[in-house]
Order: sequence, then structure tokens, then C-alpha cells
Amino acid sequence: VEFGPHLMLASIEGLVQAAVLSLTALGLSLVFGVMRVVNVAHGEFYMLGAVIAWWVATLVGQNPAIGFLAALIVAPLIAGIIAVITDWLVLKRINYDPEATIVATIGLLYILQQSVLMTFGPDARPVEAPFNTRIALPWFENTEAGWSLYYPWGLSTTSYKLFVIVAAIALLLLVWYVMSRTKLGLILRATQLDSETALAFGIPVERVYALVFGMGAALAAISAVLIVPIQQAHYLMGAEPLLLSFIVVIIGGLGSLRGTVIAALLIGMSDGIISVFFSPTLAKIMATLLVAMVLVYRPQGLFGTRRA
Amino acid sequence: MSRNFLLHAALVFALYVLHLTLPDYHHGQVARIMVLAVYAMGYNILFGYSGLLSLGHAMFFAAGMYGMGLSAQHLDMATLPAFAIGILSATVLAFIVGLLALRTIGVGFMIVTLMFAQAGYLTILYFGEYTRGDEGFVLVTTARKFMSLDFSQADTRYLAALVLFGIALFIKAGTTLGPIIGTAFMVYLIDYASGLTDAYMLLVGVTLVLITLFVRGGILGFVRAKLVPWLP
Repeated sequence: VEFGPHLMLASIEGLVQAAVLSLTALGLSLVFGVMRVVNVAHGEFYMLGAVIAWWVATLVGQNPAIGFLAALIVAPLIAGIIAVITDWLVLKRINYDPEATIVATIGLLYILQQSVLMTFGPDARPVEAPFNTRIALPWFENTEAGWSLYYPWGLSTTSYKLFVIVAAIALLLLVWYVMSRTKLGLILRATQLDSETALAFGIPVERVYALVFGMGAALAAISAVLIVPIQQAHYLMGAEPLLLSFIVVIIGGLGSLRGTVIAALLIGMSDGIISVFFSPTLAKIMATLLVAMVLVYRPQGLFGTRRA
Repeated sequence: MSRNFLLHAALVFALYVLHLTLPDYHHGQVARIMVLAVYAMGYNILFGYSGLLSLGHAMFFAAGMYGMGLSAQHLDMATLPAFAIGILSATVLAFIVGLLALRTIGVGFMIVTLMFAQAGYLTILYFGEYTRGDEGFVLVTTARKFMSLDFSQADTRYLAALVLFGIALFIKAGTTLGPIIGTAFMVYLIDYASGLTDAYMLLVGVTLVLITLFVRGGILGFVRAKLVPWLP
């Protein structure tokens, strides 16, 4: 394959990754922004979403579209409920103390991961996509007759991948709408800005925290449901989204929705493109070092305004 | 002689007595605990004293290990110089990482150290040709011997661990009791749990959550507050 078509293929893969990543990272950013809690178990809620999607799809059987749709509702719901229970049972009781929270969420990470290992098993299991039509993509060619379009061999994507991108954009817009145009968003932003003053104005901060932790987990789960027809569900799949989300949240600037999305695009695209042309390991080494440098020289992130 | 000096000396002596009396299984475990406790003491200096929560401290453990192992394996170095290179590589790495990471504080410091550690981990995988990636490699037998000492022997290992542990104690590497208790607890917990089930990290996870919930101030704090207030 020539360079041009190859680059386009890599960009589409990167775009799919960026779309899913921005949702996952948004969950982490929300939890950190509002609660000041570093949730090490965030990746496990992602994994939980994928595993529940497999479970729901198997339970529904027959029609993959109905199974997928059910998973899209059930998976974030269950992950969210587990997160709310965790917040109520553990995080609230240790007063969201930063260090204790990290140890507790490391504990939670192992509990979720190993529970899935005991019930779901160590195998990677696929979930069938609701629709998966191959779409050939055109490329330009300079022939004697001038520029013309043609369909190079191997340059194609699937309708499902395009759907993932569209669905992620729709969900991002939804989150943006909720955060900036509704009363709930106002309450969330008020708590993020100053939880004590919010409490003084009658905002039930404890319940807001539980809700935010649940929303964060639900966002991770829903992005996993979107990706699972492409990637397969596995009990160790949470580590990579956790690391990438950390990277995105930090580069984008903590608590900045716009920054998170732009950073997800940057990281997802560059990861996808470098992975295709060089090696995935090299891509990740460069990304992690880049994050470290950004934090060292620009602690507020690329788009953030506050100090981290 | 100060009270601390006497306590440290008594501890080292007690560990030597244990060397002569312990059954094989616990003999090996205590040797592990002594080595890992030195690691924990180092971590305690960073986190316990200065409050800098590094999520990448294990990278320096790996730097020492790979610095020694790789130079023995690929450069045919003798044990002692290879050992020195191991220590040197961890020190140099710590210097460079510290130069950059110490410009940040709080969550920033956590993430920066985590990212450096991740980059280190991935670099080890990337050079899999030499490091054998996630399979790792077994050190050549000549690199496990020094003069007449054979470090593949349980007795030698225990005594070497005791010497290392003793050095860390007597150069006053910060608080010692907390890291020692924590290390002993984790080593035995993980070993016990792994005998029960394959998903033993589940038990470890539950224990971590329960400790953060119910044992305020950690195990040492709890013991001090509730059981023996005179403990140093």
C-alpha cells in the first residue's frame, strides 16, 4: 500500500481510538475534577463494561443488534451502581483522603479484576457488532486525464467503526450539554469550584460525589461497550485505558472538557498513526515521556487554566 | 549507646538467631522480607517524610536489577562490578528523574513519576532482544557467585539479606518499624492468599480496602494506639 492511503487508514483507526478514549478520559476527568480523587480503578470499570456487554449479548442471544443495544444501557448502569456503592461503602468513610483513596482504589482494582477472572475466566471473548458492512474508501490519483478518484486495495473501514466515532461525538455533546446547560451541571460545577461553599448553599455534596463517581464509571463502561465488538473483552483490558486516560486528562488540563477532548484526539491519533508506521511500544514510550514533560514544564496542562 | 542503637542491634541479633532456627519455608520468607523492607524504608523516606507520593519507585528497583543483570549477561562482567553498575544505574536514573519530577508537587508528581516508570517499563519491553521482555532472564550462574559465596544458596542469601538490612538499619534510613511490619505483612499475605486461590489478588485487594477503612494510621499506628503505646 502507498503512503497516502496507508496514512488515511491509520488516521481512521486513530480516530476510532480517540473517540473511545475521550469518553473514558472524560469519566476520569469528571471524578478528579469534582471529587479531587485519583481513581486508580477507573480502567476496571471500563473492563467491567466490556465484560457485561459480552454477558448481556450472550444472554439476549440471536440478534446481535438487540444484544448490543441492551448492553449499551445495562453495562453503564451496572458499572455506575457498583461505583456508587463503592463511594458509599469506602470512599465516603475515608473522607476522600487522597492517600487512603489511592490505596483503597488499588484494592478495588484488584477486587473487580480478580472477581471477573473468577467468574468470566481468563479468555478473551468477542461481542458481535450490530452491523459491520465493509466500506471501501477512495484515494486520489494523478493520471494523464488529471486528478481522479480510485479505490485502492485494502483501503477500507467498516460501518461499525464509523458508528463508534459518531456515537462518541453524540455522547460528548450530551455530557457537554448536561454540564453547561442544565441545573445538574450547575450543581456539579459549583461542587467542583468550591465544595464547602456549595455545601453552605444547600447542595448535597455527598450525594453529588456518589453521583459523579457513578457517572465516571458509567462513561468508562459505555466506551468499553462501544469498543468491544472491535477489541474483545478480557479481564486485564483495563490497564491500557487507565494509563491513556491519565495521559489525556493531564495533557488536556484537569477538569477541562474541551482540553480532554482535544488531548484525546492528539493522543489517540498519534498513537494510532505511530503504531501503524513504527511500533506500538515506541508510540507509548513517546506518549508517556511527552506527558511527563508537559507536566514538568506546564503543570496546568495544555488547555487548563488552574494549577494542578 | 543510645536506645535506638541497642534496639537495632537486638533486632539484627534476633534475625541471626532466626537464621539458625527457622524452618526452610520461613527462612526464605524472612530473607525476602529483609530485602523488600530495605526497599520499603527507601520509599518511606520519600513518601513518609517528604510526603511525595511517587508511583514510579519500583523503576529504581528494576534499574538496579537490570543494570546488574544485563551487564553480567551481555558484558560478561564479574559479580562485583556488575553489582556496582546496578547501583550506579539506579542512582543516575534517580538523579535524572528527580531533576525533572521534583519540579512538580502533589498529583503532578504522582503522574510524572508514573509516566517515567511506564516509559521505563515499555523501554524494557522494547529492547526485548536483550531484556527478554516480559519473560525476563535467569542470571548466569557465574554472576551469582562472589569469591566463595554462592548466592543461589539459601543460607548465603539469608546472610547477605541480613547484611543489607543491617546496613540500612545502622545508617539510620529513616523510620524502620513501619516499613518492616508492612513488608512482612504483605509478603505473608500474598503468599498465604496465593495458596488458597488462583485469584489471590482478590483477597489482597479486599485486605487493602479493609485496612484503609478500619485501621486508621496503618498497622503500626493501630498497634501503637490500641495495644502497646510504648512502641518506638
